Amino acid sequence: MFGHVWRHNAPHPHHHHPDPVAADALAGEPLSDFVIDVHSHPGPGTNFFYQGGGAGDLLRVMDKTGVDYSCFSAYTAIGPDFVRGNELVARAVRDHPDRVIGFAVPNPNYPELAKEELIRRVDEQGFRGIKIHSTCHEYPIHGPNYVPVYEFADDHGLPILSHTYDTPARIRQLATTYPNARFIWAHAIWQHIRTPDLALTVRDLPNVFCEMSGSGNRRGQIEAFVKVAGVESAVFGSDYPVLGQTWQMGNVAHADLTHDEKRKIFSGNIRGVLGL
Amino acid sequence: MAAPVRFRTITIVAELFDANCAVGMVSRPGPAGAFLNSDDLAAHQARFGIGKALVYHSLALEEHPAAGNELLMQALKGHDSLLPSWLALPHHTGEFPEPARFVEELHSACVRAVRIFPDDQRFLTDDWVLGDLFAALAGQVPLFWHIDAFSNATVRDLYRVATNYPDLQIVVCDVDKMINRSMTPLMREAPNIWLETGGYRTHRGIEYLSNAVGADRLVFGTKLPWQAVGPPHAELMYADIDDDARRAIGTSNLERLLAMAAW
Repeated sequence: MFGHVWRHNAPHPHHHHPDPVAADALAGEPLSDFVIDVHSHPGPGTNFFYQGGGAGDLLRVMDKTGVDYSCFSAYTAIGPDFVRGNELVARAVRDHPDRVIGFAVPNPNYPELAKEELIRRVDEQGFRGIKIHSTCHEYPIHGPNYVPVYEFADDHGLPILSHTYDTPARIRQLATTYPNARFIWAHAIWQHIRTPDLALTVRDLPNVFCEMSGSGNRRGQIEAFVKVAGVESAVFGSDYPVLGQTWQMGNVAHADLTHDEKRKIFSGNIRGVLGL
Repeated sequence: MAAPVRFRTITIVAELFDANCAVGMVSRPGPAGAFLNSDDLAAHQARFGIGKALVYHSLALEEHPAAGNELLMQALKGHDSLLPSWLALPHHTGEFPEPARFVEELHSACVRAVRIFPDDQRFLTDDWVLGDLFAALAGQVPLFWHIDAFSNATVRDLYRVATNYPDLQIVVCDVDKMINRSMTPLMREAPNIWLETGGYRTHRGIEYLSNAVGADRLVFGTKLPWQAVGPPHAELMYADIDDDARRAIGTSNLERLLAMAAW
């Protein structure tokens, strides 16, 4: 691709790179490792414009970046209409079962409907995870209407991707109360800068993962989290298209970590949880 | 025995030009810290094929431009690939030279880029505050306008200044992801508005603006030392644009912009 044609003025046009992931990203080529994006939201944005954003668009981006699977929960599902959003994802799962993993969204403000949705999407349509967004739905993650959601995940051994983690103490409480559920706390590595005890908390919780997407990609923050929490606690997610998948992928690909550590973040830590 | 390291041969992207980075100690670095000297900054950038950079001194932002601009010139001595850029303030308080004098100083030091941080350093950009500076810089030196947030008020300021001073080249720096709805008409209305991509984390943003307003007014930046280089680098390298456009954004647009300086 680009790196192979733009050679003018290069002092060392060929460079031997020991890390294939960084080498791929440096050249703008699809990552050759197996990559799972645990966090994506196909759909148009209400509060800002981005080009594309639909399921087909994400698949095209995945081809460019080398992401093998993306976990979908629709933008509209974490917003106004979770049933309509879940249906959009069901269609994407049907159309692209080899690239798309469905995450069902329950809106706790509609508890009966939320329960029905989980049963329909997971038990009947093969969704493999749950996405909750307590901020958008303005409902606390420890509120009673989320209890059936956690119980469902615990019964089925499902991952729950949550935008918000409240406090490290809450993470511990939920992880120990529902040990068969797998909690993925979105943006939590970014948040780690402000709450360093998060990494200390999650390192002892095998059913907890922290995802690294965020707007504040401070230099060294993934590495600092891994150093304390252990690489097994970190997973890759992009929050596509709210954030660019390429942007977030570049953050992991170029981190000062070993290739083996990057492989775990990009897929190794979560592959088994998703049945891949 | 450890597994053998698998080396891959790749082609390094030649000579990216970073429009937005700082040398010097900062109050709130990320875990990887700041670049206390130019050697460290240049070495880190070289890992990503960044061969040139337009640099300011962190103390010009976090202490005072008078101190930081001077420290910058000392820090960059012997580094031909690191080009200086100075921060400016309004002159009314007597803490900063009057615009005509400032332009003379820029000329004497061969500094071909000026930066302002109106939000961080708390001043308005209305004509009764900065009009003299804008007039003095127009047609002389490009202005890198760092914003805290792409608010409606800031967009109106950019539009007003860009249209009142059509010979002033304005590079909007440190944007976030939510800019397209106002940035698109702004760049269409004001051909002297440019965008630095270091904060532009919008999905397919580079591709979108390249098509909407042209790739010739986007310049690559990193926001070092605060931000990791990997994200903005990947955003440029994976953007679905042709290699001429990528080369322009990565290098030649900034070269062309700096060549517009009067010295």
